[in-house]
Amino acid sequence: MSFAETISENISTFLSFTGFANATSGHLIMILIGLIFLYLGIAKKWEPMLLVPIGFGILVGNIPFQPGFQIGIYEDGSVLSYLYLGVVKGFYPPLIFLGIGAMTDFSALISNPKMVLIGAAAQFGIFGAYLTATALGFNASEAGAIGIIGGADGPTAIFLSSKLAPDLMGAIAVSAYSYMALVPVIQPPIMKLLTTKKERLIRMKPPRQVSQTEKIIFPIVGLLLTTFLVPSGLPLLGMLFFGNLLKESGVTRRLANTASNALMDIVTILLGLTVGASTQATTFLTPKSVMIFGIGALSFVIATFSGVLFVKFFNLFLKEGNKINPLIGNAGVSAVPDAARVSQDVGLHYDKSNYLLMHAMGPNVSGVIGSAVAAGLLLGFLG
Amino acid sequence: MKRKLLLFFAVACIGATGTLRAQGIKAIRINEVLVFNDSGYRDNYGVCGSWFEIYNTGVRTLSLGGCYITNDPNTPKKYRIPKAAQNATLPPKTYALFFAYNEPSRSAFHVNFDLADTGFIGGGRAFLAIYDQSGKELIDSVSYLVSAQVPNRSFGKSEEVKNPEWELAGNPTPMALNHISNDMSRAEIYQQKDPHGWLITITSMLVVFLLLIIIALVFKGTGSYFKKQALKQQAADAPKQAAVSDAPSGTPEDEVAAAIAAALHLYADDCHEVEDNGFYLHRTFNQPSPWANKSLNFKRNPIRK
Repeated sequence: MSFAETISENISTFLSFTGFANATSGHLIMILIGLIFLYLGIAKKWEPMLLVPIGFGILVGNIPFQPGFQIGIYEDGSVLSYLYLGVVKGFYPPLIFLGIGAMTDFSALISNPKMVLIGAAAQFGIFGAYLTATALGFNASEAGAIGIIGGADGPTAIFLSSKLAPDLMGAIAVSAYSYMALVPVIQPPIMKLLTTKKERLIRMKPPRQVSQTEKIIFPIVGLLLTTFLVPSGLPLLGMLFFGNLLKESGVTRRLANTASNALMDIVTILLGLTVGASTQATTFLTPKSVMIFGIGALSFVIATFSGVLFVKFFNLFLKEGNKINPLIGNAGVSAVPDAARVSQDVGLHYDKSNYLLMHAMGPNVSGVIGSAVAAGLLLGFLG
Repeated sequence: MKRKLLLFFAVACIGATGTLRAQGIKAIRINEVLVFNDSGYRDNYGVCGSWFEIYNTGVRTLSLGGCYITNDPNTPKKYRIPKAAQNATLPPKTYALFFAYNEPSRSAFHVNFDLADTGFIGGGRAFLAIYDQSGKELIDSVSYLVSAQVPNRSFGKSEEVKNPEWELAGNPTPMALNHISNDMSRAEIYQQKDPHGWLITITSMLVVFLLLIIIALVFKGTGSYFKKQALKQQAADAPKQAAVSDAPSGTPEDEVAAAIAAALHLYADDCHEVEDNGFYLHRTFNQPSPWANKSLNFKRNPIRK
């Protein structure tokens, strides 16, 4: 073989390894989706902490390559596959919950415990999606994993789908995070549709001051109550309440800081990037993924509907002066704190001095507990 | 008398023969059904098609030849098992396996319908029945919800139990003893028990509500306890505060009263600042000017000559 032929063969071999030679239309579609995520995260500032890592992860996961070189996230021994273990084995989500616990102030909930029920009502989104997925032909495990999108809680969705339907995890995680980012777009029209102007102007009593002792008791009692009844929710609820105790105890400030800052950031980076990278076109672009996105949107709509309608129903039993503004009903869907911010923004739109944020935080954090409990139940039934 | 006895025995023998014959073919039953066979048992053509198994529960060898199999209750004679078919005779406690993916030309054991076909009894259910040689007497039948079927998971009846019920057979066992086992995942069991998901939904929502109601009640209780404690503390502190406030002049109270009055005035007369819930930081820039140029303002150092 001549020198020129050898060079030519080497070049053609090299070219066969390049992304250009291995690209398919699926890769290009996914790269486009990744770029849209990045645009929404950077230019529109919609959930940048989530959409930027996931968007970039989608680019990483969809660079075309020849299999067999331990590059891809689904190839044994690749670096990405090791990073992805935290998702597959489900240990990133509890760490995120630790951070969420260390960041969350439950005093809005403690001061007005009846708000907890709004968080329960919003879980209809999960089970509405579960029923829809079952009706559309998904098996029970898959339907359970898809249903949890309605909990509007990314880590919970990843945790449950890694246990019940690992094959669908990429689609479920991307769907959950996408709709969480779209909460300010999805929820306001539904809230306006279901409420009258009079209801939107309801002013609620300011929450009472909560003592430090109550704040310390909350995570301990909360853990015991929830996990004794639903032990399968222990990985998420245990870490959530532990993180909160670190924050509220007042004697572990350094640990709380680490959990809510450094650790949370590290896990968010790894989780976002690997979930994004798991959307390889070959595994992601399927009719099932499209259906999951459809069901995901529906679940957010159902959750918002049920949250707002539940408040209206609840108000029937409350005295004048104790009524709840139904605009905080949407906050029961978790998506902390975006859903509460939506309540605040829509409330201010109708009354410039009616601040609903702190009131909405009650259902918002109870939504986190509610969706973790629902995830535990689904895991208990179907796991 | 003897005549009467003989007649009675003759009638009894004829009746018993008829009964035995009838019981004979009645002794077969549909024993196991696999609706979605993705990667399991293959026929001689290499096809993983849906299949069902027929089992002879009796003690006599029986012939299936001439019997009818159907998936349409209104058409009992949909598929006739050829009388001359090889292996159509079933010794006691043995099986016959039929593939049902609508390819009847392949063999006598390939029927002309599909087990996933739901077009005959509605409700998303499919039907399977076997009739005797006359096509009039139903021997055995089963109906099942197609959407609840899990790929490569069959359902069947235990051969070891009298009057067995249909149960999940777990891993398919064509032409062999059914393992009515507990090796199925919980999801599969629930899928069979609750194919539409309503039971899980209702149970789960009840538990979520119950749990959060308990949390609400517990923290309502602790909240009222701590409120009372706070009130007691305030009552205990009140004399001390009164003593403190009596000592100096009342200036702090005056300031508070003035602040409240000002706030009420601003609020009532709507002359408070319009708050748009925004917080602004304005960067101010010094316009560059020669006058601001420090280098021009420096005095020249004296030069020694």
